[in-house]
Amino acid sequence: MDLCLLAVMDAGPTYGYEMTKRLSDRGLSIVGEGSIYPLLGRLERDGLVNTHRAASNGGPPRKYYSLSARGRRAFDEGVDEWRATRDAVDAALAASQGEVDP
Amino acid sequence: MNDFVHECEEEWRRLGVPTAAANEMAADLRADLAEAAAEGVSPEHVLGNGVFDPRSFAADWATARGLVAAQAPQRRLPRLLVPIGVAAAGVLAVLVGLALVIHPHASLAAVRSPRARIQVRPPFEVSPHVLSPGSINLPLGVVLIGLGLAGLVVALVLSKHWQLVRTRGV
Repeated sequence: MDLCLLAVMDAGPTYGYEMTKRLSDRGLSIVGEGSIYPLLGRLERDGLVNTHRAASNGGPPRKYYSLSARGRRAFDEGVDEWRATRDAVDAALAASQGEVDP
Repeated sequence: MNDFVHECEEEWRRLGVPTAAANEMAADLRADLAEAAAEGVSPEHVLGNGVFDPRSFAADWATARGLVAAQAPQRRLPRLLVPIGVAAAGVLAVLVGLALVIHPHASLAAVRSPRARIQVRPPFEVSPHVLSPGSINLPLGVVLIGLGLAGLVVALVLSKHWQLVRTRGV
């Protein structure tokens, strides 16, 4: 989930609820799972995100989250690791299906 | 949802979260929930399972931000001690109850030191049939066994309940 949050922030600064909406737009719903707020808190504590307060569209000031330099490095490394894992799993599944199929 | 935010604020206050940080989190939470409500989005969609347990949600959020790192474990310790204490008392009650049921005529006199020389004479005559140890020990033992078993059931229910709450936590 951390990687997904970093990916959303990679598209631009965003605040909590807007991040939830962007995750939903990408097919990731948190219903039935934990909230993103503790995750954002941990990312902030670990220095992976920068924060600033700014007025939202017609609403009260919000806390906006954006990638820090450290967060960007973590995001790039995470993407590489995820793709390597995905490729390995895909290869394993393809081999398994090849053994099953006549 | 005001109740939810209010419960979070209470929890942050209890955990000693700095006021500025608590106010900031509460304001963000209020704004997000208000925006979601205006769009017809349920609080569960914003908060996930946290919507069912505001105290745990608030504690997890503040802990993740490093605002209550030293205090978080203290909250769980008493929760573990309660079912353990109840279970221990239940086991003790069952053991004592069994002893009384199996040996209803045993009394403290059986374990009295043979060197004891002091004898206390009751100020009135007591019928041996009325205060015979066996006459009261048997029902007392049954009651203790019942209470002990009830205590064990309560301890089991408590431990299962808190295990469920912890599992559903964010």
